[in-house]
Amino acid sequence: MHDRELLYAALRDPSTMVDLELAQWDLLIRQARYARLLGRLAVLLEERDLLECLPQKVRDHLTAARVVARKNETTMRWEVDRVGKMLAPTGVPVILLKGGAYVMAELPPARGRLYSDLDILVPKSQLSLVEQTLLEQGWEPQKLHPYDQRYYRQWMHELPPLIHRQRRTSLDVHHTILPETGRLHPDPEKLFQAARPLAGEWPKVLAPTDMILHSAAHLFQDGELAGGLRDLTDLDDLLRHFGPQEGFWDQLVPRARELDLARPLFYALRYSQRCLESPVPDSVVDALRPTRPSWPVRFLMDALVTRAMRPGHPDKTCWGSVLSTWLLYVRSHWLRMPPLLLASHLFRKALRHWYEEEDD
Amino acid sequence: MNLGDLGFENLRQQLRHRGVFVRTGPFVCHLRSPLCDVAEAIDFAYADFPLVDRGGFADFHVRLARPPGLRRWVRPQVQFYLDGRASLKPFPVRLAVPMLEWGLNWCVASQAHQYMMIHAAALERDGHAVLLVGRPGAGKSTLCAALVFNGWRLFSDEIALVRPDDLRLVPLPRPISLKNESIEVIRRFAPGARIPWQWEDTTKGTVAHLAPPTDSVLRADQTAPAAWVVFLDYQPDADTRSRRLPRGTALMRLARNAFNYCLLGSQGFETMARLIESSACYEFRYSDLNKAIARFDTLPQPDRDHAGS
Amino acid sequence: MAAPGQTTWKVIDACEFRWRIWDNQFVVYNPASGDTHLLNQVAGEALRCLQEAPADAAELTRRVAVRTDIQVDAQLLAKINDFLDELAELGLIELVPS
Repeated sequence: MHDRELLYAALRDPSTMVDLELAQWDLLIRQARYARLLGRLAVLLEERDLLECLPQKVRDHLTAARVVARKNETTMRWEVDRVGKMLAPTGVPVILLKGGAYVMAELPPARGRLYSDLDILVPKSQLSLVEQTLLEQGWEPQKLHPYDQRYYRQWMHELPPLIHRQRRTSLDVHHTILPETGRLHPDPEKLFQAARPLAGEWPKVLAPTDMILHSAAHLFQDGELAGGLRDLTDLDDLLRHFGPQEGFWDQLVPRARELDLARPLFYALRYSQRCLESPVPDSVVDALRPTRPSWPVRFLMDALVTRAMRPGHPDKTCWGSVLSTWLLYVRSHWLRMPPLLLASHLFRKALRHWYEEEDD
Repeated sequence: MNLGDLGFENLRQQLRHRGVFVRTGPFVCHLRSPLCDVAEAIDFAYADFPLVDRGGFADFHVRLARPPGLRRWVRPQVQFYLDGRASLKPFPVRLAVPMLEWGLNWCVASQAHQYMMIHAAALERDGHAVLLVGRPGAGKSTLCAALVFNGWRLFSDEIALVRPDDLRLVPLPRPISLKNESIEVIRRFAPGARIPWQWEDTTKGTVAHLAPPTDSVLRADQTAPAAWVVFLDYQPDADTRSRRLPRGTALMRLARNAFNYCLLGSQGFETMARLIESSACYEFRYSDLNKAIARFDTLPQPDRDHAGS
Repeated sequence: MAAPGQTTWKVIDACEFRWRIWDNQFVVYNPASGDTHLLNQVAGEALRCLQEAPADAAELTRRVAVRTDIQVDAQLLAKINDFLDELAELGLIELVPS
């Protein structure tokens, strides 16, 4: 098996991992760790009772990854609990996004996951109240260069990240799921209407179709594709989990159109199928056909995305992957901001890198 | 086969190209570096360490090299790469050897969460281990080095590895880092000590490395239970004095000195609590190294149940 | 601070504290928050009492006094009240919804 295939094969069929040689494990562990998927592999093996079959050295690394993932989960649950205690009394509707939603709703992407921030969505009209409440109760804005502060507030779709004074955890408060300066404008009001509560009224999570669309938008429009394979596995998990639910596939494409997210969904399903063999009905693929980009764009995206997603060999710089990742970074910023804004943003960011010490 | 069996030229070549796979305690490190002083230091300090089959499994793939770009020539730097990535800030190239040691410690402390890891020196005698805990300046490394010359087996001067299953400490013998005055102190205390180089103007002052004793390296697979936890307090001109710490206090202090106590969650708490229950915890004030060592000779033997002892 | 009419405290849901009690030191680990706390005898007994059953400040003071052989007086009640606020801040206890 080619080095590049190790991680994909492990994700698609975890039981194949028991046959790996030590040298292959050496590579797989490093690739998975960098892709933030080592905890996931550990859980997949644990679920299938395969850990005992593995060499001790390999088990040690998986154990360590499990420890970190478990702690991440505890921390995330506690953050949701604490933020809930603060915000629930205000009556503001709050939707948990991404990792926070996966763990609280006990969805498959939560398995072995590493979390970074807690992300919540609140109505734009209530943003000040939410910010005020949080600032009064132990949260403070992350110290940002004034330029980045402006970037977040004026042009993006979130407050600058908040850090809790004691716990040093990070909270991102969004009011839409894509930047207002971008080309696509999914209506947050619709997301709130369809949102589902967990236990009681607080908090809510996105409806299944919306969760998938948000994941697609995040991966293919919003983020720098740094999440890459990890975020694609989230998407694959959600598709497999919600797919069997009544009416899910029928609702997905119409909802995507309604939220102006058909193009990201097209990419999401395409690459999830290609890389992870996600089961997507032909009818859905056909329904998205009108929204797909022209063939040159498709061709380029195919090359860029599959290369960027490919876990590299840690010892050999794959220039193709590096370039692909950089091009996608530029692309995602282009989609966020009109071209003139983009140039100035990148230029200023580059200048700061050379002339200022970056904090840890 | 040990690393010393390679011979310097052969070692240097291997470090420049495919690297060497060397076992340090429970970890296999794949080391590569084109730098000559790094090769010399490894040849000196790691001669007794066993080599492992190339192409098998390594826990850490490490490379020390000058980063590409301008800083290769202007105020040249050295970078520590783990798995091809530079996660630490670069050092001036003359500090490559200290960087290797700190970098290897960082690899362990940031990844080896199959253990509970405590920022402490660990040594063993007669089948029981002691943990030495202290702030910078408390003389942990100095006392550790001195005890090593006084019949104690070195487990580690920086990172004590505790196995959660059975609470046994796992040796990780590597070069001992001495700083500032303690370098001279140890040279005087143990005239036979091999300390060939020192490096000035690091962030911790002047640093030197003491090679781990051969015996410690050869017996790196022999674990031991912890019998004593000693919180060090170096005070110039102070009498040598120790007092038992209440267990609750000891737990909190030891937890604060652990790298991954919080990360381990409930298991961390249980492991720490059982460790405290099965060992005697002391606060130890001293100024005179010889008197301190003599006091360590009289540490009470652990008994089965520690009620009231 | 407790609002008027809302005075009964309980440990938070799904609180599976882990304890070590050594002499008069109480070490308690809260798996939900990941925090470890070192409490003296009064504080430790107070938390243990609440874990057994919810109580308001006065009732808690009475229970703690019994366990620790301390006299119930205004000073003890004041200490317990302060302690309850601190425990709430730390996320170990909350008021029972009235």
